[in-house]
Amino acid sequence: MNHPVIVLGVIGADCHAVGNRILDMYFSSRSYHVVNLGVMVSQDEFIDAAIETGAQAILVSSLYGHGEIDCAGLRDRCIERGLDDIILYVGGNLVIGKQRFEEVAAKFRTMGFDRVFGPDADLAVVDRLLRQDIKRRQPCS
Amino acid sequence: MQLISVDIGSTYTKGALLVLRDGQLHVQARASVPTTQDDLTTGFVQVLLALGVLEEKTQLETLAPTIPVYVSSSAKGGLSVAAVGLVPNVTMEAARLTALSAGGRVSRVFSYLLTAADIELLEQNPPDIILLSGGTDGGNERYVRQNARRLAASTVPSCIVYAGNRQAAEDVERCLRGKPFTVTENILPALDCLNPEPARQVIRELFLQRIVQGKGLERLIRVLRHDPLPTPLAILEFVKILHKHGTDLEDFCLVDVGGATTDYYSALCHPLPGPETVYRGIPEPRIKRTVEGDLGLRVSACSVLDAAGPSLEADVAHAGHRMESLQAYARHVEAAPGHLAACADEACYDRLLFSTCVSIATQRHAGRLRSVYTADGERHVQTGRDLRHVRRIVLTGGYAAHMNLDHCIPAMATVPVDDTGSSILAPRSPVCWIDRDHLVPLAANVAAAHPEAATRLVHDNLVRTRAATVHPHEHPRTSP
Repeated sequence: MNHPVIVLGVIGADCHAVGNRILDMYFSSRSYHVVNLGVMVSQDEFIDAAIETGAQAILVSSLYGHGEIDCAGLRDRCIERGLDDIILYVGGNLVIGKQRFEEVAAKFRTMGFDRVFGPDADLAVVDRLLRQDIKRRQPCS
Repeated sequence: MQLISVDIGSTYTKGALLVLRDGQLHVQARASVPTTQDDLTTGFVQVLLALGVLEEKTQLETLAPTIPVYVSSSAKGGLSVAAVGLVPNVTMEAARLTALSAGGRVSRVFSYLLTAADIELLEQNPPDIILLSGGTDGGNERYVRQNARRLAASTVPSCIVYAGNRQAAEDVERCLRGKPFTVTENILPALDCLNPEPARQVIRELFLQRIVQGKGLERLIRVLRHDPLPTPLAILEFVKILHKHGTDLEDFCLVDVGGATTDYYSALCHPLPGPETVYRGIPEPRIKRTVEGDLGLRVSACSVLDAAGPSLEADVAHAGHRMESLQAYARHVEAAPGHLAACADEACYDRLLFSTCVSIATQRHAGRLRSVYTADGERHVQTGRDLRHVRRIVLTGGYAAHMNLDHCIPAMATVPVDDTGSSILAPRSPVCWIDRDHLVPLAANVAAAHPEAATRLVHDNLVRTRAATVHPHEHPRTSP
């Protein structure tokens, strides 16, 4: 498997499409096989897509501040549906109001996300971390 | 130039002698005899005798070169297909759609891993074909591999068609060596790309190889020197042709209400919504067929009443009848599928059953639209196909042809919203057209060779029903 498969999408009732397009273009240009589900994606749609495409990671975006509600339980649902060790990333404007990013990140990590990114994340950093994480999870063969 | 078209149905074998003159087809003679189940050629010959193209005592073999004969056969109600996919909403749905679009009767669907109990079901009641899919190309391989292994270890005799993840194809093939097996392209190579055509083609070939064996169809093929078509596939292809050549029809639905099932076809130019609506699910094909196994006028008459909503009671009362009498009639015709309406009351019951089949099948075939309130205001999310703009519904089938046109069909009340509160995207104010002489299956047979003439033939035979048959209704939300 040369190109890692990643599932992208904007979760919940969030229809911010621009950032999603940018992520798609960026990760495609970095030789990922991007399965982009677009906006207003439910938890199960992420999981359905990840199972069928054999994805290594799900990258969840949330821009409208309701990320906490929309993302709650995603890790449990992945495990429930057989994706025991899929990589889960989340990024965007995850909560409303002024909360310190460290607190927000801690909250989402407790929810089962491997990494959490703010709205100003550097995609080159995300790319580097993602490759590391994918490599680490690959079964030794 | 003369042509013969014969459709060997499960109850009747119907035929027509057609004349092609100046690019137009005309019906010169019609015939219909009960299908002879032991040897289908007996009924076929009887039809040819009745059409006057065969002399008494002539052998079938002497017919061949003079007049081209086109034959379709529904082969015991269509070939049964078990659709195996991975995720229910993704490849399992794609497999189900593919089997239906190949003219199959979907006997069962399975998702994820086949269990021992699933295998036992398949062994006890083997379908003609198992369509094994799962995983996009380069995607999940684990499930299809394991399912192939389980099928290999079973005694299931069915033909297995592999149309899953390309990467697993060789392994699956190795695993299933010794079983009747074919590999074809993935029905869902990518999540947003439905590719049913290659699998459909394979299913069609298998239909010919396996299903026509016995019952005398091989002899027919030898004489005619070409293959009969599976009836539902012929009609599906014809719907495609009607959509292309029949400009007056534009987007339309075609409903074939039979004794056991209601087959629903729709042809849309743009099956996916514009950017203002968010679409969810695997992409909709332009031409779609669905089959409702619990909706039919005879064998499934009782289950029609089970499926009907409360509006049926109002329709029954409006027609001056009692629900109990309709139920008794349904029980009677279910036990005696050959029964024909013998009096005005029974004809009315048949009309009620007919309109219920059409309205429920319409609701099931149509997609759904729900409103979601977002930070940016109201948004619409669509699943399935939008039929709201469809103006014409063509009704075909033996019963539709015999319906007394002086009575309009009782209003078909389609409910605007389903149980989950989503709008049902059924046609808003369609007009129903009846295939008066039941020419659709016969024209479908010749449509590949004479697309425009076959289209014209069916067009000229459509009769508009007296009233708009579906209550125009308002959707609770304005359309996006």
